[in-house]
Amino acid sequence: MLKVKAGDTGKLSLLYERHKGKLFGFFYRLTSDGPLSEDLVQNVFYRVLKYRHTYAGKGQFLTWIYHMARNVNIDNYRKNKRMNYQEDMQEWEGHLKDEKGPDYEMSRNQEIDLLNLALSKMNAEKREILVLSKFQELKYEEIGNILDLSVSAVKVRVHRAMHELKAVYQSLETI
Amino acid sequence: MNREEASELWIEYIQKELGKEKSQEMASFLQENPDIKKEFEELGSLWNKMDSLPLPDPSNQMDVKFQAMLSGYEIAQSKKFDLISSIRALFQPLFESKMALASMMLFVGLGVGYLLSSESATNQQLLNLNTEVYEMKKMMMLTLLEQPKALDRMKAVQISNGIIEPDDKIIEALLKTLNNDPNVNVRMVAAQSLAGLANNPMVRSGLIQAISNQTSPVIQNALADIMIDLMEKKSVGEFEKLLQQQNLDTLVKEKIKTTLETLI
Repeated sequence: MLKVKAGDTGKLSLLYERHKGKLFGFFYRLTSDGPLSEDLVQNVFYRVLKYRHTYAGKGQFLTWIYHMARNVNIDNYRKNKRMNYQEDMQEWEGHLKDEKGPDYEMSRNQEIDLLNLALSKMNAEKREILVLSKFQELKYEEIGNILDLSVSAVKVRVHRAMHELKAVYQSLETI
Repeated sequence: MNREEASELWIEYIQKELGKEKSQEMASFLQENPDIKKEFEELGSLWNKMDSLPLPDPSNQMDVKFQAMLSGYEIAQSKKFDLISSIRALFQPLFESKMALASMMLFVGLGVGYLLSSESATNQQLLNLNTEVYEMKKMMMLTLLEQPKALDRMKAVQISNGIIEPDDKIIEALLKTLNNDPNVNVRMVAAQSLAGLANNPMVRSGLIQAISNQTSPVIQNALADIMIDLMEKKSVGEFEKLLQQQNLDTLVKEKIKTTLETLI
């Protein structure tokens, strides 16, 4: 990243190759929208180029790029004024409705749909901390740096987020 | 241990990351508090269930868009970028090839005129027109590939994407670009374009041969991804050759090892 900062922007390709998968996963878990997530990854790297002079170095690149990613996600959310996964939620809800019947048994796929639906209905902040801790395979220290929290606060929040997920999941199961 | 502390340690407990001492402390706490134990187990089950949530792969379009964004940015930053001159530069080869342009116009004009005037217009005539358009596209592509500006050469590769069933000359030009173009972004789009033609044996073997020629980590990475997509076992030898290179990027080295594990 220091080379990119110094003007060797061609090196951005290497950073892109290294982080594109994780960033795509981050956005996909938050939006449930593949094409949108691809665009948001582009936005992150555009911002990396645009704001490369603000990178302080000292090996904090991961924290820095996740700050960019979070801002991109927030901007996208504000721009759309509603979560982009609404359509998918309707799809999942439709799925669940269609499959219900007198002999209804929840299959593995339906469980996945239900869990996705529960995640999408969660408070955005709690969903984000679950995405960071469960799917992004970040260390608690790294999550703490990204969210500006202590390590113990991260762990407590993950636990609380899981409580909310469980509550939403159970409420959907009983519908 | 109290409930608050146990809550803080829950994530490490579930992931079996607690040290021996804390682990024992947690075990006895949970034994004394069966309700919390049940709660932790339920949350743990949900946590593990999240492993089965699917994550699709991003499309190849994401890479193409990224390369286009980066090239655009670099060109803009170089301050040589001027919209009018770029448009002019882009179409310069067309104007330079006045004869070809005139020929194409003549052919198209004659063809359309003939079709309109003749009641016996046949599919053969349409086929002839298609051939002329194909040749024109091919000529534009080959001319643009010779241009000094990277943007022009990228445009050439884009034109090749629009050609259905490209002939050997086009494929040779794309392979030459992949192996020799001085600009990494042009080489990258050429690699992606060739990946789309991988059903052609000439393309496939050209992509394999290109592996050990590449010095850019980005292209080496991209070729590894392409070979995994194609599950091309014949590329193993070339990757092994690449691994022998002393100055190979550490990240690429890891990538190639993973690629070899997947392919073998």
